[in-house]
Amino acid sequence: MLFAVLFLVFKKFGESKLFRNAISVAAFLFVAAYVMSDILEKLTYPNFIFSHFHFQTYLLLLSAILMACLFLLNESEKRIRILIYTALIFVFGQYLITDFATIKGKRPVFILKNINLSYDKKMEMTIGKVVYDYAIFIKNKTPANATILIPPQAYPWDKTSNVAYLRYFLYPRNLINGDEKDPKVDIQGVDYVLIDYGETNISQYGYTNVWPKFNVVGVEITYWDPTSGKTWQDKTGDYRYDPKDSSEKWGIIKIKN
Amino acid sequence: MGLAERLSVSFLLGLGTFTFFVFLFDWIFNIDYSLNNTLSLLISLCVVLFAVKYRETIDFFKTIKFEKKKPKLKTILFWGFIFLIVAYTLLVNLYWPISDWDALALYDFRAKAFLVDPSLIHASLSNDYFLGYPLLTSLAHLFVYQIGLPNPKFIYSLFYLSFVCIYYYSLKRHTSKNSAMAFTIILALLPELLIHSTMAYTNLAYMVYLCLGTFYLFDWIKNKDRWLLYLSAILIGLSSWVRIAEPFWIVPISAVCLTAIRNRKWKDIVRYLSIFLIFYSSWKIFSSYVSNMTGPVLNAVKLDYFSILKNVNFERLFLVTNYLYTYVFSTWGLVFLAFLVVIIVSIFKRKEKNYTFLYITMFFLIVLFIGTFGFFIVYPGWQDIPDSARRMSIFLLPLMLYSIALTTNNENK
Repeated sequence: MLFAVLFLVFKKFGESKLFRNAISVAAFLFVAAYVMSDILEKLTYPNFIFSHFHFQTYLLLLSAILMACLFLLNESEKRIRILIYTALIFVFGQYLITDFATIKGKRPVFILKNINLSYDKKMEMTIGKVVYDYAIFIKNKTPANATILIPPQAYPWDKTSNVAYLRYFLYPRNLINGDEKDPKVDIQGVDYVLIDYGETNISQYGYTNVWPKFNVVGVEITYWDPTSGKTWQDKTGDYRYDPKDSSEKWGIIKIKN
Repeated sequence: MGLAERLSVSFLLGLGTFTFFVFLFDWIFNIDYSLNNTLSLLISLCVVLFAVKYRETIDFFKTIKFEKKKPKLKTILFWGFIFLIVAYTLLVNLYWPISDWDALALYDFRAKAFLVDPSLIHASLSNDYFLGYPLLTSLAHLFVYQIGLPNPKFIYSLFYLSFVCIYYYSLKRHTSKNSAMAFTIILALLPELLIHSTMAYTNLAYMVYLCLGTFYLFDWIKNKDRWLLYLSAILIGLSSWVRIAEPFWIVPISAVCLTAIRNRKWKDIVRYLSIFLIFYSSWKIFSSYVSNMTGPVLNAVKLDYFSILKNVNFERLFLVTNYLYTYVFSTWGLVFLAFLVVIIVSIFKRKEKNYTFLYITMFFLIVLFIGTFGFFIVYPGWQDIPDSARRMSIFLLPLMLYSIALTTNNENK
């Protein structure tokens, strides 16, 4: 509707030189305003403009597009080309700023200073120390042909409950999702059950930290401390879920010998 | 075609066709993915190609000339700039291991799985969500692992370098050298391109094959050189060997059909389609072959084109336009604005210049719109994955820049 009104106004006053100049200035100003707001968001955070001025940057771009369309209706080729080149120069500047942030995020200086960092340390840095170390702990504690019961696929276990994700580290072991409060499958059909506190504190579908939330009778439990990496064993193999105990526990239950 | 462009095209064609033949031989002849088999296949392919084209190959090496004249400062600065970015991506790719979600869940996982279980059928049957995408990048990763290298991410730097190189030489054929350099630098700085050049996702490879296939198709439309048609058909075919769910191959095929009909050269359609279908249909047939054994390999939403037509109304069109503008077009920023300006200019001045490439790019946009609309009709959660929609359509940015370069250049050849 806005465009229709503008178009009508343009048709009425389009011949006036003053009006045409005003449209040209408006087109360039909107382009500049869009670029400024975009750069501001790049330098601060993604929703900066909306949280401070209560409008979205893409609406500024839309205004610039509408102005440019009106501008085009009655302009010389030279000025149209100037508009396109101006936009492209701004694009170049925007890209430089965005790319600088991307390059910084990949830590080239860190790379040059730590050129001999081990694969394990790099993985800990990229996917998270707890997730990677826990996956390696599980791999070391289970044979290649093991079937392992893992939490239901949701937060707070975003990575350690995702079969497709976790299997990357544990292949060819077979991973099966259980439910939060019951194993969902015959527990005697699996070889191991994870004790997985959850790598985040985010809740999804009502699931909360600590898993499994049911009792498991196995032959042996190996606990793992994510901070020190130390392990210790409970030879009874009896895992009792206590709803009052929400302390952080990690480990693996061996179901049968 | 200069040496740098030839090398870039060779890398892309070589990687694509080699992985494709590795897949075909495993499927048809049950030759598994061991290092000996893949190396033997690679050597055999090279020998066969050399035998077929040995005269041209020898002629090429005899006639090849390296320019002895001193390059201009702007050329040195241009290539220096490109070299710096490629060096950065190589540094990042060689250092950081593969850690992006989809790469761990599928693309690189398949390569790791083949190291343990080198039979495609067996590996597909033993792992859920294994055949969701064709195998180009996974088999490329596998080959890198097999030859003893720990990290295959450098392949994405080579994709980036090849793309930028071919983009420059392709644009130079149609515009001035300065314009080609300026637009290639903007392309090289494209944030999406730079991000994907350091990620083991399929979006970069898809963009490279689809865009380059379109550039060579445009060259064919202008020059009528049949080898360009074949090259375009192979590249578009290989784009479907990277990602098969997206229907953007419709655009180059339609362009070939229209050109062939206009020139009354019907055989060009058959030639193009035959080459494209070798790549496209092989994976389709293989997927249905495995799904007959197990059930669907990919729970992809299937579009019913009649239901799209039946469900067209203004409100839905507005919703889809708004969604696409908010999550896709607006993220392209001023490139989108410049592209719209170019479209309007082309409408007013359609008789003064040849806007074929612009029309092809607009057709890609129309397919994106129709595809999103179809997705909206058949899938209730269509709005939940704006990131995927943006990633899927990043190939339009190089095409739009190319259109702008062709339209704005005074020396449009």
